Amino acid sequence: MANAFVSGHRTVEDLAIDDLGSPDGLVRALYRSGGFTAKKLAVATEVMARMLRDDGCKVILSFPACIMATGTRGLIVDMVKRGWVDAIITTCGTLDHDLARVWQPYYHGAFTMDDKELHEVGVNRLGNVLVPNESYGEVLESRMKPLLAKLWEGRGDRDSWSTAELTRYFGLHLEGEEKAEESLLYWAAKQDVPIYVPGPTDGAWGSQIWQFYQTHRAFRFDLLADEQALMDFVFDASSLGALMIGGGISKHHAIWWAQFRDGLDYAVYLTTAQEYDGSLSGARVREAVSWGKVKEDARYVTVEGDATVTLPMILAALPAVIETPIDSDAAAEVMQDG
Amino acid sequence: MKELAEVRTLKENRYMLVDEEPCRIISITTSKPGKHGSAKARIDAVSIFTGNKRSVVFSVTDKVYVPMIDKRKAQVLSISGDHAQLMDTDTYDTFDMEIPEEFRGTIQAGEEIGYLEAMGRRMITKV
Repeated sequence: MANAFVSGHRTVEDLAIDDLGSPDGLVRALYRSGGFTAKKLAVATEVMARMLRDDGCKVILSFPACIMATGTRGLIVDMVKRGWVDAIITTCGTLDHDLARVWQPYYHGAFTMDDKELHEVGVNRLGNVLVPNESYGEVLESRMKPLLAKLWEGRGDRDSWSTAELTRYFGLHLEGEEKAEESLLYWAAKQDVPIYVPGPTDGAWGSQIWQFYQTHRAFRFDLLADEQALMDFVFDASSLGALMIGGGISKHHAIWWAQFRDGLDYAVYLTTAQEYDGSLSGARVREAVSWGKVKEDARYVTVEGDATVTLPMILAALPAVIETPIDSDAAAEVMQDG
Repeated sequence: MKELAEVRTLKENRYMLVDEEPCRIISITTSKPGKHGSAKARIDAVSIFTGNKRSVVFSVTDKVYVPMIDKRKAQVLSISGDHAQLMDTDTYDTFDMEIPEEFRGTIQAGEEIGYLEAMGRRMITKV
């Protein structure tokens, strides 16, 4: 006799190597396996699919800058190109890396390289990615100065811009660049996906604008115009979902605005952060339920792991999972985990 | 009157415009190129007219404005309270100027003083 408590729960099933051949076959098998992060990764794929199957759902994508220094940038761009994302909330560093990589390459390195030596030769290390100065601050400075001057010249009676307007301006001005099509700013502008940067001065992009301000003292960021647009965005959505990659200000600003409409209906959080320090980044999605930032009956999951691994796996399976769900709504209670 | 100069050519005790204010440069410290971009110069300067301190950071290759500082001489025609009636000894222009606090009481009618002119503003510098 089965214990009554577990009636209706799926049984744990073993994986077979042959099940792992296709991306969605793999993710479906991970789901049936029941075990640990593999299962949660599959739940994340299903929650993402539910966001995208829900016609009235607006999807917020939040993420930090570091992944933009890697090939994961291409997946962020692809999500925008496919129309899977309605708004982006990110950090200043995202703009830095995205723009810098339009004009200069980043390079393979290793976590264990000699940082003193790297500093001496003017190469910055971002995990195991190498970012020479000429591929970062220097190229941003030389490219941004004329674009800021052009913005100012054509300003009319304006002297303030929201970050969504500025990111769009820079995205549109990549037109004609050889590598424009690789850029998030370019595609977000093309697809009318606003990019909100609630901490715009924390990086090279923001520093360039500050430098410009030293000779154009009337220049202002209009952060409150971003807030106004986010307010409209969350209230106009009939339901709201978020894919949150990593923590910090970008995650918090997504759920912050979600609380004004009683929380997210769908939430996927990919993180490596730990809960025990009480930080926002470490908080599982369930903690946001207590704040009203995620609905009590939302479908949500926290997937622990490096998003440069977990995100490609989810996205590889997602198109097929949108067509054919991983599990029925009967299993809805397991669509809340983490 | 002002002219453009590259930040790298600026020197301490020379002049630059900060927010349109003619300033004397007190110190320049430069930092290496990095995430922020090319090498930066942090410049501390004081307004030659008000003594207020102003600080800015520019790339060493940026161009900034340097005011033309005209050092001139004038004869004191008369004193009236905190103001002096002066005549430029070259151009014979006569004009009225406030006497800076440090020179009040020491400045006498008939003597020659030094003054400077920058960005259309004048100040007595030497008595």
